[in-house]
Amino acid sequence: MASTLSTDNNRRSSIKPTASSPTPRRRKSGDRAAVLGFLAPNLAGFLLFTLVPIGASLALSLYEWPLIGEATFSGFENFVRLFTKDPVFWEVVGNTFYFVVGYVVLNLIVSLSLAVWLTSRIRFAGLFRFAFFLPVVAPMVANAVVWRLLFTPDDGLIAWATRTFTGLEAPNWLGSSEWAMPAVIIMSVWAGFGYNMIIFVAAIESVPDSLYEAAAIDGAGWWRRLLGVTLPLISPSMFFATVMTVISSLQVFAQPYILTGGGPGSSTTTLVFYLYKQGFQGYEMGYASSIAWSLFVLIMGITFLQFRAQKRWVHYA
Amino acid sequence: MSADSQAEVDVWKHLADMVHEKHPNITVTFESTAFQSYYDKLNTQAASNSLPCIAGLQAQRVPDVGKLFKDLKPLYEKDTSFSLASYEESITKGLTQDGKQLAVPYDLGPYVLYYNKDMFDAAGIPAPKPGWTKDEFLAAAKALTNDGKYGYAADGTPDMWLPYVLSIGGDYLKDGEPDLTNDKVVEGFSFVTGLATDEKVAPVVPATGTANWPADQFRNGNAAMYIDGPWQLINAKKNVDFTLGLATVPAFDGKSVTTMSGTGFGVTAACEHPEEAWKAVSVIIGKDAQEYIANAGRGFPAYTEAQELWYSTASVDGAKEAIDAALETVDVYETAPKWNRLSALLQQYAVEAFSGSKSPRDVLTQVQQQVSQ
Repeated sequence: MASTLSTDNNRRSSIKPTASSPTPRRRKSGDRAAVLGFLAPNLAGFLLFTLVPIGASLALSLYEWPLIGEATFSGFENFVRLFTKDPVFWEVVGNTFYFVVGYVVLNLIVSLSLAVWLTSRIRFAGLFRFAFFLPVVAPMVANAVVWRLLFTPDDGLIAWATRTFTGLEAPNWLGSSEWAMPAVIIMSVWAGFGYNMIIFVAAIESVPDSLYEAAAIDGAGWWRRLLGVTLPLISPSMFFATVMTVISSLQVFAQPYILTGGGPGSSTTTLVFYLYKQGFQGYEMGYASSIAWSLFVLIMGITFLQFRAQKRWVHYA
Repeated sequence: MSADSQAEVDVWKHLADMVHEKHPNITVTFESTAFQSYYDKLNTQAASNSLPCIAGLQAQRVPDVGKLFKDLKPLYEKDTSFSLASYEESITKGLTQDGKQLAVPYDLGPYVLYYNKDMFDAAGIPAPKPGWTKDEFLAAAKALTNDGKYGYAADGTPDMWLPYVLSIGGDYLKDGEPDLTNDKVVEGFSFVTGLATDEKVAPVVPATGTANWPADQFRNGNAAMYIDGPWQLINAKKNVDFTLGLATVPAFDGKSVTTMSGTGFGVTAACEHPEEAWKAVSVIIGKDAQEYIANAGRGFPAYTEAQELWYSTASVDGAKEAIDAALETVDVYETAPKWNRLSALLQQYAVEAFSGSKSPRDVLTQVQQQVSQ
């Protein structure tokens, strides 16, 4: 807090003399040119490859465009069809939420627990940190191929382990519509928790030791210190991790694309995968754009709600 | 053009060089992508007006992308060295749309049954012969299934089970649209899913994004039989360490009808140099090139004179008998628009029919509902 204030003061004090200097205009316009110059490469890329396509896709969502052939304006027809006639759209939305809830909750539990463990006094913490982060760097395609082998019924490693240690038959992970989504979630958590774990490790390590000492003197045990000191102090990091994880998991694509092909049935078809199928298998670009915009509005809405709710649990020191 | 291995890429590059040799003023630049994404690329290039002059076209995709190709008739009618009659008629027909010849085929292939001869020998049963019956097939599949290995492998993609529908006399199209829920289609599909659910001679299919999962099962020795086209022979022979054999899809009441497909080269509609493009195409699908393809074992040549050469190169048990027998009763693989979507949906939804958690009819109904919305 103190450091933030002092930089603010510095900035203010540095602005004042500039404003009262004899050649304010030239300096200002010179600054602007420099600023624009530095921003230009990024800005051009952003305009050309992000903003224009986003605008184009909004326009496209109002057209019926079979990719090869003429685009015809159809107003909100794509959205009407999507929301009221599409036989699988709502199921796909449901699948996406299933994935988001399962993935985000498990991811946070796993990454937070491991971060707490890694920051306690253990040996080889660096090695473990490195090992846990590895899956994040590994390409999802390779992960999915290996996990498909692990999930193989009867002979797969998971099926073998289940049979050996519990005596029960493992579910047919990728062959049944009940177990395919859990399989996708398990693989995704394994592949993704390392990122949040690193954020939490950094946050926990920046909690001042004096607070723990004070808490210990007051007689707080390990649990009390975790709940009363660590968690409140790292809540901004947890908020950041939650928001980012929710957004990225709403956009999940690679896992169902490679691991399950969206099946069995539509049980692992998520919004982005469905969008891809409509756009690049059905070549219905307008319809695919309307799915993209529905997803965008959904992400906006959920992120807005998260920001609204942060007052209740996020403590900025 | 699509290519799934370096061996295939080399074949295509060689063909391009044959064009350069014959027509030094024409340059053919070869671009390829994996088969699974080839039509995505073609469509995207068409939408952005950047299609190459020459492109490959598979007969099944004619309803979808046929309009991107020029009618070759005006071009080859002027060319005295070319005769369409030298090519297998069933596939030249398959590459037409509204009377336009969109492409000249370089290969064709009736779907046939691939078998692992070593597994048959080990089980002490005779290798299948063209014309073998459903009962013989089932008996063999049962004898081959043990110890975690299976007699057969299939998934839900239409290529894997349409021959069974056709053999029992069914039709999967009605007025050019998919008709997946009629009794014969359901019966043929149920026969194949039943191999996993009732007979237990085929592995349960996982949900997967990979193309041609049954081929993987066959190649790694998990399944003794599956069906595929002869164009897979070169890849298959290189990648397996057992003896391959070919036979026909089993006959139902004495009838074995299979689908067939094939690919040709055509000139795209937007091409600014159609004459030159045709010159190049005529070399790529010409006699020398077809003999080269036959020698390389790539695709079964559509040019009838080159077929003998292919059989001798392939030197696979029963290949000639199987393909000849299959060609006698073959049905050109007719499709409806958006066939790739239908195919992907079937692969995705059929998983539950193979695991027995949904009835084959329900699965077909769900897919039918989605493709006709």
